[in-house]
Amino acid sequence: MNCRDARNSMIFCSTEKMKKPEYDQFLEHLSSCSQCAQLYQQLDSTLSLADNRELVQPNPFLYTRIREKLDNIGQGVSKNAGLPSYQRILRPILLTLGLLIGLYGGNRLGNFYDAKQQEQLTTALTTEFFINDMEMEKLEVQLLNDQ
Amino acid sequence: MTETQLIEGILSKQEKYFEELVNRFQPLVLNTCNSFLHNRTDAEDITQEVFIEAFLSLHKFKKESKLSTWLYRIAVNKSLNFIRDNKKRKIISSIEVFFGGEPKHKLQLADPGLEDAGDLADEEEKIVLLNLAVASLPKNQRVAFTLSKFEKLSYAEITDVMELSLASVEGLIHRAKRNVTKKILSHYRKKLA
Repeated sequence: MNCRDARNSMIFCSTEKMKKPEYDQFLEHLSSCSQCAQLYQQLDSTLSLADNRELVQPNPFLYTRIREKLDNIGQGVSKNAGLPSYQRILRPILLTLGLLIGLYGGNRLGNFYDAKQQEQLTTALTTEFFINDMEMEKLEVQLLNDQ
Repeated sequence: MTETQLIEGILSKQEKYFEELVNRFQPLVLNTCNSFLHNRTDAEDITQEVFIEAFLSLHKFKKESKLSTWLYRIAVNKSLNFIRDNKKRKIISSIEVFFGGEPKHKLQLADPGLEDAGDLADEEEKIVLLNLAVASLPKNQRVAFTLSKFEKLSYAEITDVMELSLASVEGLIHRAKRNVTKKILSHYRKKLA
């Protein structure tokens, strides 16, 4: 058995029983190859940790904590009895209504704006501005009046 | 006190029966959670959740299985959910770190209380390696392996907890053992190379 076969055998060795001649060859290889022997020893000691796992000691205050949490849950339920239905049903409905009102209002405001009328108004103002500009008093006259 | 008396006592809102349930099954639930989470604080938090869930849904418990089997099932599901949520939290945390934030949770190795520092490092490495190998298994293999190896449950009990056939459980444990061995072996092979 070479190193490659021995290392493949290690996988089977831990999960299922190897047949006698193969197992003997495997042991023989381990006795002659220090690297494979070291590898097998490390693998075996790591896997054995699964069988000898340290148990966690119980917490003597666990029941008190659970009781406290349960009391909080009970109080939370009675205090917010109507809240879940508000959160799940009313809130989305109110949000949707708000959104629809916003859209409708925006649409109405948009329709209220008359582009043609606005254009005429702008033209009229521009023309008037030019007329008024022509009628403006001269700067010299204004300065004389101030004096 | 029999299991039936215990259940009926809790259902009739008698405090002492629930206290008895917690005291009787705390080691079982705590160790199961710890086998999955490898952290005492997290295991205690999940243990509390398991008993709260048990208290709130005891009326749904069908007396077809043992109470311990039912508690094992809740503990396994809660632990797996915690691991799943923790993964999400880690992703969010890594995104925060990527954008320049400070990591909120840092990995810490618990002190196992061994005196010899040399042994501690070696032993700790092996425990971490074993835990990582088990954690990398697919969900069902992981549950079956943990219940079999760490919790020492019989195949029949695992069948009840996982609600699978005996053949499926045997197959899962066999594949899990092989995969764990492969992972550990590959780690040591890389170390030797």
